[in-house]
Amino acid sequence: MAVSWEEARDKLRELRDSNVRDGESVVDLGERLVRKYSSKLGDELWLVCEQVFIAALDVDRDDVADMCLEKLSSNFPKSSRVMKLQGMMLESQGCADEAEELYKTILAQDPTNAAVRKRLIALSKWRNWKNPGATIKMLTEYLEVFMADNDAWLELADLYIAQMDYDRAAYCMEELILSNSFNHLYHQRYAEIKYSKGGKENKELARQYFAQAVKLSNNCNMRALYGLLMTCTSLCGKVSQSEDSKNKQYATWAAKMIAEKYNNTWVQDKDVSLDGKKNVTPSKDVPQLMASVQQSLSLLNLQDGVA
Amino acid sequence: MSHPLKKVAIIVGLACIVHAGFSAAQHRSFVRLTEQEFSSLPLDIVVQSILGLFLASYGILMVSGDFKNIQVNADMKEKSFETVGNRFAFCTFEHRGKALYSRQ
Amino acid sequence: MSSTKDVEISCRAFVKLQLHLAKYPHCAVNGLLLARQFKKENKVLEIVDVIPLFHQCLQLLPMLEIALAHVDAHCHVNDLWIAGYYEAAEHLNASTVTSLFAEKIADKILENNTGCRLVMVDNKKVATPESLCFYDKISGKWQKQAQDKIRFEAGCFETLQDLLEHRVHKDLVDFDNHLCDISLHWLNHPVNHLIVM
Repeated sequence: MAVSWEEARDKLRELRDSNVRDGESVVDLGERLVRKYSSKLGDELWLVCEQVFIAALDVDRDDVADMCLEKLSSNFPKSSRVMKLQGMMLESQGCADEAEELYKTILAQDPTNAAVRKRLIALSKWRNWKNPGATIKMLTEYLEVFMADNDAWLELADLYIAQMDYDRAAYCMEELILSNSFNHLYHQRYAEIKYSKGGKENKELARQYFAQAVKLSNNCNMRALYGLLMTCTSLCGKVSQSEDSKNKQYATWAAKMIAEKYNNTWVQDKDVSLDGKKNVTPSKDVPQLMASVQQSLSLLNLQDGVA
Repeated sequence: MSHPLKKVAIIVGLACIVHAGFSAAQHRSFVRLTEQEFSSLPLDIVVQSILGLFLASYGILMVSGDFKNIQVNADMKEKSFETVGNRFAFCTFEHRGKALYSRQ
Repeated sequence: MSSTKDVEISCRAFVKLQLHLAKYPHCAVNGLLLARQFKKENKVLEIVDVIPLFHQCLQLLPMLEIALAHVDAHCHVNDLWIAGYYEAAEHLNASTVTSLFAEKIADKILENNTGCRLVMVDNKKVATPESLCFYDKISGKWQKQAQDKIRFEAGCFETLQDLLEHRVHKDLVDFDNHLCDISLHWLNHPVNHLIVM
C-alpha cells in the first residue's frame, strides 16, 4: 500500500483541517513525508511537523517526535510555539514540573500567550485528575480573560459533565449558544445536558433545543432527531391535554424522519457493492436491522402509552 | 472551461472596455470636428462596452475560486462532536495509549 | 441467586471490547455486555457479545437511553440479554473502583436484568485479560469478583494481537459513530467476520 507523497500530504491536510485525533494514521503518513520529502512540502512542512509531532507523542513514538522537534527548533529557534511543543514533549515523558516551569518562563515573556496558558490547564488536568476542581478553577480564571474562546468553554462544559454537574455545564453551553446561535451542535449538547438533569421543566427546555438543533441542521443531526423523539415521548402524560397532543405529533414526526433516514441509507447501501473500502453493513443483514430499528422506535413510542 | 481560458476571458473583457472607451473619445472628437450636435454614442460602442463588462466579470468570478454558501451554518451541517470534540489545545498524553503502544 | 456465577467471556466479546479501548485511547469509553438467555442448568454467565457505546461525554443520558432501547430490541430478537455495563476512564492511572455514574447505570440495567455485572477497565493493563475487573451486586453493594472466576475463550488474546496489528480497531463502530453516520452499524458485522477467521 504505497501512498505517494502527494496523497500523504493531502490526507494529512484533510486530517489537520477536520481536527481528527488519530495518532497512528498521522504518524504512518507523516513520518516518511517529513523524513524524505521535506524539501517538496515548502512552507506546509512546518504545519506537518507540528501535526506529526503531537501525533507521535500520542502513540509514544519518541524517535519521530524528536525528529520533528529538531527540524522545527533549528528553523524557529526563538519561537514560543516551538517552545510550547518542547513543553508537550516533557509532559508526555511525565516531567510535569519541568514542563510547568518552561510554560511559566514563556508566559513571563509573553503573558497574553493563550496557547501556553491552555497547556498549563491541560497539564493540571492530568496531574490533578483525581481533583478536577483545581483544573476547573484555572479554566474559569482563563475564561475571565479570554471570554471568546469557544474551545475553552466546551472543555469546561465537558469537565462539569464528567462531574455530573449539569447546571454549570448548561451555563457553559448557554455562553456558547449566545455567541454561536447558528451552531446546531451547541443546541444539541445543551438539550442533552438539560435532559440529563431531569425534571419536567428541564425536559421541556430540552425538547425546544433539540427541535432547534433539528431545524438548524436541516434534519441532518441524528442525535437531535432521536432527542426530540425521546423528550416528546417522555413528556407525554405529564403535561396538559393540548400540550400532550402536540408532543405526540412531534414524536410521530421525529420517528417518521428517523425511519426514513434508515430506509434511505440502508437501501442505498444495498446497491453499493461491498468492494468499496467503506465499512458498510452487509446487505443480507439489512432486513433484520431494519426490523430492530422499527422495534426500538416503537419501543420508544410505546413509553407514552404505558406512562 | 479550463483555467487559462478564464484568464483570457478577463483580458479580452478588459480590452473590450478599454477599446470602447477610446472609441467613445474618438467619436466625441469626430462629432466636435464635424460640428454636429452630439446626441448619443453609436450602438456598436455601447454593445461592446456592455459585452466587455460581462465577459470580464464572468472571468473574475470564475478565477477567484468557489462560491461560499450564503447561509451562516452551511458548513456546520456536516460537522459533529466527533471532530469538534477534539480540542488539541487541551490534549493530554497520560492516557491508555501509553500502555497500549508500549506493549506492541 | 445468592452466590455469584462464574463468568465466561467469548472471543468476540473480549476482542470487541479491547478494540473499542484501542480505537479511542485518549477518551473515556463505555459499552454493554450481552449474554445468552439464562437457562436453569447454566452454571456460568456466558458473555457472548459486546456493544461499544460512547466515547464522548459518557455522562449524558439521552443518547444512552436511545442506545439501550436499540440494544434491547436487538436482544429480544436474538434471545440475548444485557448482562453488563463496562466503563473505562480517560486517565492512565485511573483506579478500577466503580465510578458513581457507572454504578448508577448498572443499577438501572439491573432493574430489568437480574445478575447483570459492572466492569471497570484497568487502563494500565489494556489489551490483556487482566484489564477487566468484574463487579457483582451482592447485598446492595457492588463487590469485586475474584479474577480466577473469570475465564476467557481460548485464543482470544492471539486474535486480539492479530487484529490490533492490522489496525482493525479503526473499523470498529460504536454508537457514537453510528449516530454520526447511520450507515455504520454498531453490531460490527465486518469486525465479527474477522474475529471468526
